[in-house]
Amino acid sequence: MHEFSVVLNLIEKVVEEAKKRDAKRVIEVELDVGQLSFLNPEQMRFAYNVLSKDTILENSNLIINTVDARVRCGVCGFDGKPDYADDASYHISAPLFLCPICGNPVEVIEGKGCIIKRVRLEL
Amino acid sequence: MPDEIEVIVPDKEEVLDIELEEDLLEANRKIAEENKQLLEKYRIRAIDVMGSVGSGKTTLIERLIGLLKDRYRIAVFGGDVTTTIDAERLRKAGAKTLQINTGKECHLDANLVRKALGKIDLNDIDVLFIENVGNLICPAEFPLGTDSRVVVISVTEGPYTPLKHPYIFMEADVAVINKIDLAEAMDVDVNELEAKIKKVSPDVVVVRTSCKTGEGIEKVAKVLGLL
Ligand SMILES: [Zn+2]
Repeated sequence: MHEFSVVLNLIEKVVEEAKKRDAKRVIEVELDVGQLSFLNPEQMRFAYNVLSKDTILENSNLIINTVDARVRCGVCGFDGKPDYADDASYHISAPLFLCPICGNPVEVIEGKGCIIKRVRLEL
Repeated sequence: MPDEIEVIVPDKEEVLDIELEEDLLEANRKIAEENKQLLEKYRIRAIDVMGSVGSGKTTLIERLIGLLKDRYRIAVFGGDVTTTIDAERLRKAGAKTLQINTGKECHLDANLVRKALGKIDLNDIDVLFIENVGNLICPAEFPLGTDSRVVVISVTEGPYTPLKHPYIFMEADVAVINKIDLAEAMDVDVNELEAKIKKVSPDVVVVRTSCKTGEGIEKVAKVLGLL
């Protein structure tokens, strides 16, 4: 899963910030993870625990906020949550990128990113 | 000598909050953009070939090499952990091949491709196929900087792939439905499969192929602008 490479990238960024400020350790990291980034929070936590060992982030707390998907339709102006296609035979619910009102393709406004919001350091 | 020196020490538990707003997926996009510019500079047409294990990515590339090798100088980057055999096959078909070791990673990223681009003579290549790791979730999130992205699925995967993995179809320019020669035996309705792809991604160009018989291969080359 690509959680590992994203978390590796996260740790590098946070180490950099911590060094810049001569921090003793990292206490907490807060992330906004978009629903459409398809990053699984459980796997992110697992990757975080494994990859933060022996770094300044070791034993720090990871907060993950989920950001809902938001789409916009250029044709009718719809702005909101995408429709989901439920498939009972497969136990899935996949986001559709078609306008729930007029059926045209929509643009994703929110929910694709994986953003570091805040890092709490002990100086 | 002063009788008392006041030393100011910071609180033991002094805490600092930094607001960052930094998108972790953005770093890859930036490198992908640099790759794209590099490829454009050398006039190389690059194609990212994605798809699950067994969908027929290697065979499709092999077929395309067979069709196009007299017209272009072709190179292939292989990102699959298990495909040294595939690389050998593609070399025999007439392309330069370079294996990209992803370690335990589930996808290629722009940085790995950038490193690989540094290892070949870009003056020697017209068309570059990048065979991504066999996976339908992760590569979608990591553009490499190619002109086109192709997703290959086969009828043997059953009809739910597009609904299960809509994002990769949205990110792709071309969706190849492979192994249509097996559709009847597998009892898969190819029209229905195509309709599902169009439902999640209306703009993607769908091409039906059989890499076994060669059906549809020319059409893939055409929609990629290579014929
Ligand atoms: Zn609409």
